[in-house]
Amino acid sequence: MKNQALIQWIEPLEEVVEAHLLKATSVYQNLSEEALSAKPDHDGWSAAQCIYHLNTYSDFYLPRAQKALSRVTPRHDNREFRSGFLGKLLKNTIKPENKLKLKALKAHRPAADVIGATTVAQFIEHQEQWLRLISEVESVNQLDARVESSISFLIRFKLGDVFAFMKAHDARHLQQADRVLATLPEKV
Amino acid sequence: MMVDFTHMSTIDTSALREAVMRIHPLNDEEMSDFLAVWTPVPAKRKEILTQAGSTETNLYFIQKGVQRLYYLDNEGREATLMFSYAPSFGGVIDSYFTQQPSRYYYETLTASAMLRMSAQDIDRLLSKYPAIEKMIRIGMSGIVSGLMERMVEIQAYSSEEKFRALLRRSPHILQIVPHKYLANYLGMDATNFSKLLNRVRI
Repeated sequence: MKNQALIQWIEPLEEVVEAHLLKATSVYQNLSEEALSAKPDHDGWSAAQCIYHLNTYSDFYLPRAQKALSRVTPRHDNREFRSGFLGKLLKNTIKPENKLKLKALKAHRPAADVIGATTVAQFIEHQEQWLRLISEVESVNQLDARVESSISFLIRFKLGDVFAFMKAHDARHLQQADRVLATLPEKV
Repeated sequence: MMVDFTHMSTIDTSALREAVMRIHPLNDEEMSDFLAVWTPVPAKRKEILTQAGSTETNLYFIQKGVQRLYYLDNEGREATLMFSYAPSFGGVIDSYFTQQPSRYYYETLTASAMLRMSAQDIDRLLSKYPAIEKMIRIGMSGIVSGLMERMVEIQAYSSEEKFRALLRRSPHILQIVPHKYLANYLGMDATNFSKLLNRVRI
């Protein structure tokens, strides 16, 4: 028996990952190095740098989400997922609809000389790993596992919130990458 | 209780029928018995359909999406042997016909729509209809011929020639499949692949 309440939380996130993978395979991985590394202005990020920034977060959260998931005991009820306070706040702050400009934390700022093709390949690899984790959620039937945060060792997020804010964050910076790419002249 | 036949009418076998007719024509009775045993399988991206070590229970007919057959060992060595896409057949064919454990994995690389036929069903159809047996024999010869052609490419072609041969056979594959799988299929690393991509595109 499938837990519909849990599926309602995870399915839209799975669709976001799928959409990002479709975009990365049909567009980003086929762009030239020149297009991927073109900057919109002096201190703005190139498309490659936007994606690199996302990779630094997947690098952090994927292994920790995996670890959290491997430790939980499968549940057999139909309880829905309830967002934690901080997780929800973070998601609402970084979702693309929030136009407020945020400054990236130092550890997650991309270097100046990011290699586009490698960065896109890594992004695709990460998204496939997120899909694998999402499929594992179904077998443990819960999203309450606590995941270590990148903010402070005192703060832990629920796995369901990690999925949600990571996908909102991905969407935010892929939209940024698309805006940069849209300003490029044809045939770059 | 009413018997629900609605699922039968929703299976679109027209592409399968055409694929069969291209291999070897069947008469109406043979064709309708052949088409009757297929059931639809929807699959998401990166679903493993057959695990190495298990026996292949299905022959697939691809209606949508791309899948790959690959080898993976304990040392992490991976070899992508074949891709399958519409409108063609897929699965671990040797394991399917011999009913011996598969040495390979078969997985989806994109969201896929497929039809499948069990090993018991094909066995029954093969013993009943010589024309179906002949169709399968001709189809298998086509697969062997494709594999031999690929062996020539692997042993004799330069990286660039392999790359061009792939694009000639499947011009849209660059936009559909993550490049790491294409690089692995061609036996090159990802960096080499993207260099070739940049060179050949211009």
